[in-house]
Amino acid sequence: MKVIRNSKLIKIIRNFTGFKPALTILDLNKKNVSTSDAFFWRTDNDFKTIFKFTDIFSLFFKEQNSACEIFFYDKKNNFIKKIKLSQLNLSNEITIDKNFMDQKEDYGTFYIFHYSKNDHKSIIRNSCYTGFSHKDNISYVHGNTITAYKNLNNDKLNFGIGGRTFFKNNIYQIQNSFKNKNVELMLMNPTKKKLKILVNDENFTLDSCCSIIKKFNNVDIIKILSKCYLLRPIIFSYDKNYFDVYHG
Amino acid sequence: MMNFFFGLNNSYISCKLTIPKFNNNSKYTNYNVYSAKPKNNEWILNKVDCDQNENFYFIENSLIKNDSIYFLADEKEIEKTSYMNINEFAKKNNFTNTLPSAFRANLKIYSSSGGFSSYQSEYPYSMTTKTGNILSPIDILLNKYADKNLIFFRNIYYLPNEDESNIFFVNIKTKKILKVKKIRNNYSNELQIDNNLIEKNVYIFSDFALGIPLYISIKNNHISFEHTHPPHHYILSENKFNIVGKLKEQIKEVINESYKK
Repeated sequence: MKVIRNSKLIKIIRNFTGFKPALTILDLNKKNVSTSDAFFWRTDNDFKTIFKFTDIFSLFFKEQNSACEIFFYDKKNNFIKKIKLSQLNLSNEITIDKNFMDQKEDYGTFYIFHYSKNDHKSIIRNSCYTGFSHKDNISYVHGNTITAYKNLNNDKLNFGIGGRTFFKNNIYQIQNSFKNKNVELMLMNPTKKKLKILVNDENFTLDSCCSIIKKFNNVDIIKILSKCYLLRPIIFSYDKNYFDVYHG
Repeated sequence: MMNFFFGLNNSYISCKLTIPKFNNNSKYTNYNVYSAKPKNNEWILNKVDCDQNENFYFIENSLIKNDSIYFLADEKEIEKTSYMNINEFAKKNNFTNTLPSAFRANLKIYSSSGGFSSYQSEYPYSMTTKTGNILSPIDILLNKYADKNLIFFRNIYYLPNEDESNIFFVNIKTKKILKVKKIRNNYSNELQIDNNLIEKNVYIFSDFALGIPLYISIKNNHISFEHTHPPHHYILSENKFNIVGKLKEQIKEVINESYKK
């Protein structure tokens, strides 16, 4: 039963019918797969992004020589660059600033895939922590939504595995009041299809794996409608000289 | 089943809970905010008289105690003011049991200087019925160069006891225990973290209590506040509990060999 329930086809059928919908259409019967949340980076407005992550193969499988690759994309999902990190520590850290991004002051997404030559018969997920640093102050937030995966035995990257409905719009109402607050919402489309999105009164579209920042000032509630099951934003909240980042 | 909420505070950190009146399927009808705290092996319940507007309840710092939990309930679901366990009223309430996103409240901490940080928090009922071990790295959300680093370890157990257990600071590479601190059940336990403990490979490990480790780092009055995920979050395949179980067994062996002898 578990094998059937975990298959990609059954998940697509569940999402099509709306019966027990799946947040991700990844086939959980696969083995030796590395999945990644879609992480945001931003270098605009003097921001730097710090990414702290655990070497998952080392922690759980005692791998000695594991490695990873991190792929960076701009907000329109155009590939920017990739870096390969070997000889990982158990905890690792990289800084994404405008120098790292070839003087680009912008925002977008990145994905991390771990590598192992051994057969661990497992699917791992990197959902670690991004810190957003402004004037040397930093606020950390954990990973958000599984969006991409890579089989360990080939180079193909597979994006857009976030679950979506076929007919019905889903409501994601952020469970916080934004009255008297100045906030930015970072949204990315984790599905394979273009999404029509309504946030409060504003309509817009977002292509697969693209990201966008929307500003809101002094609204009590923020309600997001789309065909994505979990269109959960990262929220930047500002007050005088201080700011806070958290997932919605 | 329902979700619970909690807060944390000390002499220099205050907090505020913002609990929505809606979930993604419906709006509440007759819910109120209640608190419960353990006393003499009973949960003592109280209705919380807090500010509210059309969409939210706002529980300010003065109403938040480290030994109390908060939840939404209809008056009809609360039959008594004291309970031997929280299953009795939890079973009647599923308004905060939501999918795909969990029903959460905003837990904001702030200092008098103006720094603030928050996360969308909840303590699922399913976690309250179990004991176990939490394993979590400490360097990943703390800053060795910050002015202050803290971990609040929040446990909620369905029985209203205040039993003590241990948090071990373990270097999982060298297999050495660096520090041990006591925590108690049903409490937001504050753990002051020496900056020299914030190193790669150093993890906290609870020997008997499940809970949520909440990481606070304060520098130049700016606050970062976030929780870590449990280890099984990083493995999606069906073997996740087996793999995580083996890792925890290795930590337990270290503790048994070097601490409990």
